Amino acid sequence: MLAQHPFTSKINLIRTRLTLWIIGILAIGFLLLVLITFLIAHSLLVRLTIERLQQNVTSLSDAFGQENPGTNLTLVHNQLDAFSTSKSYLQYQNLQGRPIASSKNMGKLILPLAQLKSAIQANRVIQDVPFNKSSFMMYGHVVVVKGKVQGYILSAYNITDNNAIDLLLTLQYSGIVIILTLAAISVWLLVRHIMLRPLEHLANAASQIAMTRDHSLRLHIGKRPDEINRLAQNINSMLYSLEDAYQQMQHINDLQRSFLADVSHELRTPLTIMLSSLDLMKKEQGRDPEFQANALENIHSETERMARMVTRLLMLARTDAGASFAREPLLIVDIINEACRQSSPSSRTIQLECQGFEIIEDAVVAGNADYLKQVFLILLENAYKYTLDDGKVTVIAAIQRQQVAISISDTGIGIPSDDLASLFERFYRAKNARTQPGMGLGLSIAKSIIEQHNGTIRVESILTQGSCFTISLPLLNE
Amino acid sequence: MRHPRQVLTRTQLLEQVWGYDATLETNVLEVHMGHLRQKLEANGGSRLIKTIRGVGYVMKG
Repeated sequence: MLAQHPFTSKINLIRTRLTLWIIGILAIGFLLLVLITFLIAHSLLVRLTIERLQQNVTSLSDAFGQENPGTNLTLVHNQLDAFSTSKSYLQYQNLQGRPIASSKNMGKLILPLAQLKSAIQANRVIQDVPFNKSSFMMYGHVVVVKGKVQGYILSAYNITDNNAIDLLLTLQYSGIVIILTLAAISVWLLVRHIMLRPLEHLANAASQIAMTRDHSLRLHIGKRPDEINRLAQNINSMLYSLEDAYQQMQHINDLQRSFLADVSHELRTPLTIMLSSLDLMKKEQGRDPEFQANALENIHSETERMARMVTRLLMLARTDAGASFAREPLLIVDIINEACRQSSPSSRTIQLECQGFEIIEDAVVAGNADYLKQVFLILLENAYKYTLDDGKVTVIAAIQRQQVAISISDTGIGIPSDDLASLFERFYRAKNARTQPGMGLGLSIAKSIIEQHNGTIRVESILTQGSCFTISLPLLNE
Repeated sequence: MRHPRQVLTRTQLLEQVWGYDATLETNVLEVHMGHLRQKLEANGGSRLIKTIRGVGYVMKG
């Protein structure tokens, strides 16, 4: 069972610990309280006893002084008995310390006058006098009759067992035990009710979400801003970001799936054309040289197209993997010329105009020739692709502030302004571009290559008028 | 021409001609380039070797 519910055992542990802590703190508090009350009660009681003792003895000696105690011993006995209690003794002794009269509870005991003499003179109470196997508090007073000292009234109070304080202590201790037991039970129940019930709800809801794998579910958050609700809020925000990440992943997955479909389609088309051309050539067996030349030209251009596509895919994979490429100083004009030569379609009537190439004749940038050529190929091919017949593609080169700027503009269909922001995202294709074949990869590849060359690429476009892509690369020349 | 239109840096040229352990003053290269240019352009030929300031030299046909 424990193995199945590790959480429950932990919760119980917290609960036990909390209860034990509270009980411990309460117990220490109560014990301190008892100790303090005991000390206060004790000192009060002692003072009270002393006062009573002094009062009794003083009033007795006053009374004896007025009516000579030598005359009526019965009266003296009665008076001593009247003032004595079960715990206090009273004795009347003469000057030599012989007892003349004692309270009844004393029997034959004689209070030690010698020990008390100094205390009597100082009018003091002596505490803790060992007498008759117990501890006594003692007080004495002279009896003066007609100006002459006749004897002493001595009193002793047994302080060995103080019933009142014992009772108080017993009451307090049992009270403490009862209160602690009640506190333990109520803490045990309250902890379960206030703290652990909501936690259990939380745990259940969370496991529900984990089980159903429904990332749109959220935990219920209570009104009070307590710790548990804060936890629930945190879990919820975690779920939000999880859902976000999950959706993003789903989106990328979808994109990749369609990308795979697109790629296989794009690769299969040239292959089909090549295969059918080869088949026809086989059937013809070289009887028609013109046909053969045509077919070969066809196969050649399709192979080139495929090679370009594969190169681009490879580049994408490499930039994704973050592989760096070798860089060397390059004459940028050579790369642009090469790209212009490779990309111009022979079958179309689109004019290509180059401006300012003489300005960048000696311009050198640090970079990789293959990658940079790809960038220009991508931009030029795009320009041709989206420009109608009899249109114009212009490449303008310039140098500004230690940067080579090459802009490639066309008179094509343009790009809707709300597509401009996402244009360089992978697989993104503008709304009006979807009639043309393509994968939405070119510009993202171009951007990542240019950025690896510490350059920038930006686009301006007017819908139906044309687009202009501008690449800036840092110049190496001083 | 072995490296037409290829920009070669000073270090590359020094290492190729004098070897890795060359401890030559860099203006030795300039002097040699000057001699080369004089010979190449002696009969009214156009400038073949161009200087790329801060980088090196390039040979253009």
